[in-house]
Amino acid sequence: MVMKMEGLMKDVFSRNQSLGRGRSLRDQFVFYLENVGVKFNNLQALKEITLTVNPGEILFITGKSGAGKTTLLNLLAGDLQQSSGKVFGVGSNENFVAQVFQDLKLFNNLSIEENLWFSFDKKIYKSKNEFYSDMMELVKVLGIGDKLHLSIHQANGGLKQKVAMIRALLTRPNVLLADEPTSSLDKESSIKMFDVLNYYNVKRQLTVIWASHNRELVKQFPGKIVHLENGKLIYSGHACFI
Amino acid sequence: MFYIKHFLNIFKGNKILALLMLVSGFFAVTLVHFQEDIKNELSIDGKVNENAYFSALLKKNINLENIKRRMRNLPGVFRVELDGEIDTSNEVKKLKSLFGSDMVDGLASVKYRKITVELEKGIKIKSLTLIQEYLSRLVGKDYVTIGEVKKPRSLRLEKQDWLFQFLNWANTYALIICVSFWFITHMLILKPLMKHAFVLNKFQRKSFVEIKMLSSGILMTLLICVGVNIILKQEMSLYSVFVLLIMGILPLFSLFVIRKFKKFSHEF
Repeated sequence: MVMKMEGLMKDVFSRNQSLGRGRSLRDQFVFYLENVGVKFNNLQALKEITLTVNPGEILFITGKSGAGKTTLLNLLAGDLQQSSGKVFGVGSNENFVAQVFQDLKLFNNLSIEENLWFSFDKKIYKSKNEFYSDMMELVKVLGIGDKLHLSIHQANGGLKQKVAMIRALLTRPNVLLADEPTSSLDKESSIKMFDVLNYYNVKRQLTVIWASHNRELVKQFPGKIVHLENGKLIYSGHACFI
Repeated sequence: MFYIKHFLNIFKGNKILALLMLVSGFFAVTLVHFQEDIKNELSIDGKVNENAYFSALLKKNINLENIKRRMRNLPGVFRVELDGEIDTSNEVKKLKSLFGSDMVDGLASVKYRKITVELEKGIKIKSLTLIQEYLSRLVGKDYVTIGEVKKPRSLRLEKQDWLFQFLNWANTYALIICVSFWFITHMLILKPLMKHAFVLNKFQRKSFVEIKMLSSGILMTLLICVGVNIILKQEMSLYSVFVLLIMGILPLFSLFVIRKFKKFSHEF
């Protein structure tokens, strides 16, 4: 089976390359994981995960703390190497992956606006004005327009999560990996944040991979759910069937 | 410019570290750049006066150059040196305040010069007395005041002495300390730098940001230090270039090692 799949992959890559046209990797799948395992010393964090993430898909990874959600996201982000199995699509030039980290990785000594400017990339934006108008649009939608001057250490958990999400979206990514992005938000704000992501998903074909321990919350959103338990994939399918 | 700007941002958040880095870098570069001058200044090699000597005060209104030449020709005399004019006015003022008399007023008008006669090694006391008597006769008893013979302290300083050795290598020790400080401050600044670079790596389409940031930061710091030194002394030795290269490569090499052995690229 493994040999067969590997052959198929090689065939797809070589066919596309030799023709110089046709469907790119991004048109077929964003990530493909085959029997992937990740081991930290003696701890098996992920076991035999086989998963396909399609372009423009919204995928929720659920599971309790320590189930392997963050490990899976780190693997997809290319920050971690698998111990076994095959991974396709990670590190591809066609996918620009933005992340909302669980610990947010914001700069406490900088203001909210200064943190957001970290996403300004001249390769993406023609001018600073273009970036600024995008930033203001997102800031207004998430209701933090009057808090841009605040320093991160003055902001509460919910505000920080919004900032981290805006920073990620401002990079105009193809894929967004969000690790517990609404853990400090109330239900209303969580829904608003999902609406923003849904809008980007429809408008820009953004693939969203959202890890959350709150299965009840994500069940309300349209998308696919992957449920992990002790590093093993238990369920993969539509949210309404779980 | 992009990377320098972000490197300066890290400086802003770590002011003490940044200051230490700049100071240690500047001192290291200065020590390398002025290595010869500092060594000459500190070294006591060649400056050791190994001969006994005596000094004498001579009235200025006599032919001193003639006396110097004639003293130099005496057997047992190693070297004769004439110092500048001695100003006695302050001393006269002090005496005047002590005695409250005009007796010493005459002294203020007298100008003196100091002559130092350095004697050859192993000279006998009899010869010494003869040399002093000759000077007295040559100048005239009323015009000269001869001091006692002194054995210089430096005579006791042997080349094996720890002080001699220390002063000889002081420049190198100071350089090692400064380069170590430079290296340690870079190691300490790596943590915030890697955090900064990680975010840039993740949120902009850029790669190897930490290496580019550190390289531009080191280059900027060293260029400032070298620039200031070149303004002060307009030359640069191969040795200076070598040490500067080491100073640049050391932190970069450490960063490569950290990157290689770090378990997760997102850790900082």
